[in-house]
Amino acid sequence: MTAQPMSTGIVGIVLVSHSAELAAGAAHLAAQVSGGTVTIIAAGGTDEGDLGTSAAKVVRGLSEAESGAGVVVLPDLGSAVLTVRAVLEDHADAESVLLADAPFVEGAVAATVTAAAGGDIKAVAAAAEEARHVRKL
Amino acid sequence: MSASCEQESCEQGITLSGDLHARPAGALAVAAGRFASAVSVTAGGQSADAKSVLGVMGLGATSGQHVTVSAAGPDAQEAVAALIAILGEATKVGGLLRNQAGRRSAPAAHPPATAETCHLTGTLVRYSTFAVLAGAEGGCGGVGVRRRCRLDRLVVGRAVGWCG
Repeated sequence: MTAQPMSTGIVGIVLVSHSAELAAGAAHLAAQVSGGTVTIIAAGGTDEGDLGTSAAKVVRGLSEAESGAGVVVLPDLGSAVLTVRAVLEDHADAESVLLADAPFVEGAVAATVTAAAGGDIKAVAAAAEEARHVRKL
Repeated sequence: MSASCEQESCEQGITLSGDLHARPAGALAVAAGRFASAVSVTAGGQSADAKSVLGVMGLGATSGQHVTVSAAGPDAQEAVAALIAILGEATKVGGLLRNQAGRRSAPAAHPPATAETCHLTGTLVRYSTFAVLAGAEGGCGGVGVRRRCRLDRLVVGRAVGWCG
C-alpha cells in the first residue's frame, strides 16, 4: 500500500439525506469517530423541514465544506442522488466534488476518518465506496 | 511488551484494557492513515487494514484480548509504536477519548470563560470543531439566526450548545 497523497487542506464531507435528523446524526457520529477535525455538513430534509432533499441545502453544503482540498458528497437514497447530480451539473468545478456510491452511515464514517488522516479527495471517496464491502459481523 | 522489528517491518502486541469501540477504532485508523507503511491489526485470528476504520471495528476486539499491530514499509517502526500507544491509551477506561466524550456531554457546568454564557437550541447544520446551529432559539440575540456554538448534545436532530 502507498501513502495517501497529502492535500493542501482537509477534504470536506457533505451528507445528503431525506431526513435532517439522519444527516445530522450521521455527521455527529462521523465527527466523533474521526476526532472532530473534518468539516462535515449535514444537508438533510427539504427547505420546509419535511422529509426530502433540497438543492439549495446541497449548494450551501458544498460551499461550506470546501476548504481547498475538495468535497466528497454522500447521498442516502435514490432521489438524493438526483438532487446532487442536478446541483453538480451546474457546479463550476466538478473535479473538486466527488459523489460517492456508498452506504450512508458506514461511508460517512470511513470517508471522514480518511479525510482526517490527510487523504486526498479520491482516497476519501474510495474509502466511502469500499465501506460497501466491509462486513460488520 | 517489546516490538519485533527489522528495517522495514515491525510487529508488536498489546492486551487491550478496554473494548475497541468506534472512537478508538477511529483514532487508530486516522493515525495509521498518516503512515506510508501498510499497517494491519490482528485480533482473535482475524486481520484488518488498520487504515480502515470499518475493518478495525469489524474485528470486534474486546477488553482483555491480545491484539497485534504489524507494519511493512519505510516507516514501519514509527507506525507500530504510534498505534500501540493509541491502543494502550484509547481503550483505557477513563482514557483520552472517553474524557473528550465526557467534556462534550457536560459543558453546561463549565462554559468557556470567554463565551457568552447563554443557552441555544437549533438544528445542527454543520459540525466540525464548532457546531453551527440554524434557527437558533434562546439568548445571545440568536433567535432565527445561524450561530457557531460549542456543541453540548444532540437530541433528535436538535443541537444544544454555547455561543463561541
